[in-house]
Parts: sequence; C-alpha cells; structure tokens
Amino acid sequence: MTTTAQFLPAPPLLSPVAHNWKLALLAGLVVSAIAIALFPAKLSLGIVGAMAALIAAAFTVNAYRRRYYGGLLVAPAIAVLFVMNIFPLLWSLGLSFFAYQSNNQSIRFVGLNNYIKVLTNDIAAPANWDALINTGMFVVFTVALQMITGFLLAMLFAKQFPLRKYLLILVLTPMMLSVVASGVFFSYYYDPTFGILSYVMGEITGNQFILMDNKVGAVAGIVLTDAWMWAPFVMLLVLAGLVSVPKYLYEAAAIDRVSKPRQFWTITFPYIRGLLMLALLFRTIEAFKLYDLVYILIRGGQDTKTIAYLITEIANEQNKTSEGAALSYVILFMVIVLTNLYLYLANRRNQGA
Amino acid sequence: MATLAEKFGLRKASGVGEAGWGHTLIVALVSLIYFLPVLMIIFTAFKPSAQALSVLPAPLQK
Repeated sequence: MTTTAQFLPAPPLLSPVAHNWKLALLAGLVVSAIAIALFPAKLSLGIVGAMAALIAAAFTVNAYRRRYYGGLLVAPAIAVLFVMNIFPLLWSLGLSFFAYQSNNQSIRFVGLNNYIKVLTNDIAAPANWDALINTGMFVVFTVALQMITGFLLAMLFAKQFPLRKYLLILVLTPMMLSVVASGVFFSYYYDPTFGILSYVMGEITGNQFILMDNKVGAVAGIVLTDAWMWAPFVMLLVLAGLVSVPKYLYEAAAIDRVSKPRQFWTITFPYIRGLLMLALLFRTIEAFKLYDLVYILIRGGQDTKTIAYLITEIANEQNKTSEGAALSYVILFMVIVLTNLYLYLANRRNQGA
Repeated sequence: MATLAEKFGLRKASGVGEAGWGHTLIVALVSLIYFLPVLMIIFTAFKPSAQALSVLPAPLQK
C-alpha cells in the first residue's frame, strides 16, 4: 500500500458525494448566513456549528480518499486553531454588524451602524478618540523606553564576563512575573501613604509626593512599570543579534583602527537591525492592547483609559457587546495597517542595504 | 602602559568580545538595581500585612 498523495479528479461542484468539500463549503456558508439572518442567536449558533462539522467531515473524507495523510495528521491541530482562534474572531466580526447586548438575547442586523456609531456618535466617539489618543501616547512612550532600555542592557551583556549568566537571570526576571503581581506591587510603591517612592521623594523635597495625582504622573507610573517589565524582552532579542556578530569583523576593524562608533554603525547595527524591528513590532502590537496595568495601577483614572480599557467597559460593564466588537475591529484594522507599514519599511531598508 | 580605566577593567582588558572586572561591576550594579523591585516583592511576601503596609515603608524600617 502506497502512502503518497494521489491525484484524483475533483467531482463537479453540485455533485452530492461525501468528498465534495467545495459543495459542503458553499452549502455551509449559505445555510449559516440564512440561519444568522433568520433564527434566534442560540439556534443559529447550533446551525453554524453543524455546518462547520459538515465542512470538516467533507475535507476529512476528501483527504482520506486522496491518501493525503499529512493533511489528516495536522487536521486536529487545525481544528483546535479554528475553534479556539478563528471561530471567535469570525463570530465577533459577525457580531459587530448586529445590535446585540449580552444581557438581552434579541439580535438585529444593523449593517455598519455600530462602526459609524463608535466613530461619529456625539457621546461615544469623543471618549473613543480620547482613549485612542491615550493608547497612541502609551504606545510611543512605553515602546520607546523599552527599546532604549532593552538596547542599553543588551550592549552591557554583549561581552563575555564573569557571572554573566547569573546577572542575566536577574535582569530577565521582571519579564517572567505576572502582570498582575507586578502591577499590584508597583501600586504599593507608588502609594502616597506607605509607598517607598512617595516616602523617599517626600524626604528629599519636604512635601508630600503623590505620583498618580495627575495625568502626567499616572502615565509616567504606567509607562515605567510596563517598560520595566518588557525591556528585558527587547534586550533578549537584541542580544541574540549582538552575539551573532562574528568576532573576526571586530578584529579586522581593530587592525584597521576603525573607531568604536564606526564599528557599531558598520558592523554591529546591520546585524541587530532586523531584530530591533522585530522587537519594535512585537512591543507595539502588545502596547496597543494595554489594559491590565491601567486597571491595576489606577483603574483608568486621571484620564488614562486606553482603547482596550474602553472596549472592556463598553462590552462588559455597559453590556454593549456589538459596539465593543465594532471598536475592537477598528483597532485591529489600525494595528494591521501599522504592522504592514513597519514590515514595508523594514523590507525596503533590507533591499536597500 | 595601561591607563587607569584599563587597570580597573573599565576598558577591554583581554580579547575582542571579552570584558574586564570594571565592566562586570557596572553590569552587576545595573542588574541588582533592575532586580530590586522583584527583591522587594520577595521580601514583602515574608512580612506580616501590618509591616508590609506600614507608613514608614518596610524596606526602610530598622
């Protein structure tokens, strides 16, 4: 028995055979769309689930007939990915086109109304734009501080010296802590009554020092905590680039008496540029989702609500589920645009280099 | 002749990519400062609540 994949002619589109996955996909999409439009939420969810199972069964039978065993082996992983990632994503996308509240089972198709509302409504839009500006501010400050700190730490650890691996563990520890633990303890450090920061600053200045008393202080507190946690991540990526630079390049540069700054720009930087870009990309995407520290440190006070914080408020506290979903997709769109811009710039620089 | 910075290991003392004791000391100091909040978290975990939330912060108590 051969185990290689076999080429078999595809059945006609409307042929009702078990391995006709194209027909199953078409039927699944049409039936799901009709069910979502006509039936109550619970029933339509069941129908969509049944259609997904039908499509999966058609794919499996087709793969088995063609002896495409590789595909069959990865099918469970793809199924888990679909159920845990893709389906919730598609479900929330669908939800953003309906008027739906989690505390009210009625659902009604409203098209792009939710998107128009979150972007232009007199009450909702100003809060959303404020939160978006706050998010942008956090993205710029946290990512900049993380990149600078991470880069400097990586430069310190680039050379070989005694105790290097032990000191590296100390610096990497903040990244391993849970955000909640770090947030709670930093809220203690910043506390005006028993916080060490307020105490030390009070002793120095002679006045009571409350960091979170105004927006600038609150933003600084959140930015410092986030940067402290995630600068080691940037350091780790940059360090991987720094240690990969061949030593003979520096030896040759030293023989040619090339200055240290020139060595850095002509030898070191080209090796770490890609990794810096990667760190920038990862940290920017994460900073866009900043919620936990804003909640733990200040509960969104002092006008520090980020867009993720506002989405949670809209969807969970105000029960405006579909509006929350619409706002989430607006942000997702922005992150995708920003990510592609980064990648475009990185690729253009690499092609130019 | 070695400069003062080289004597204290602040400059490259050996081969390319290897640092001296001065560099090690600086990195150790930076690492400890960076680790300090974690250290305080660990110490606070061993203190009773009254001491952890005292008006004179716990690390400064005698």
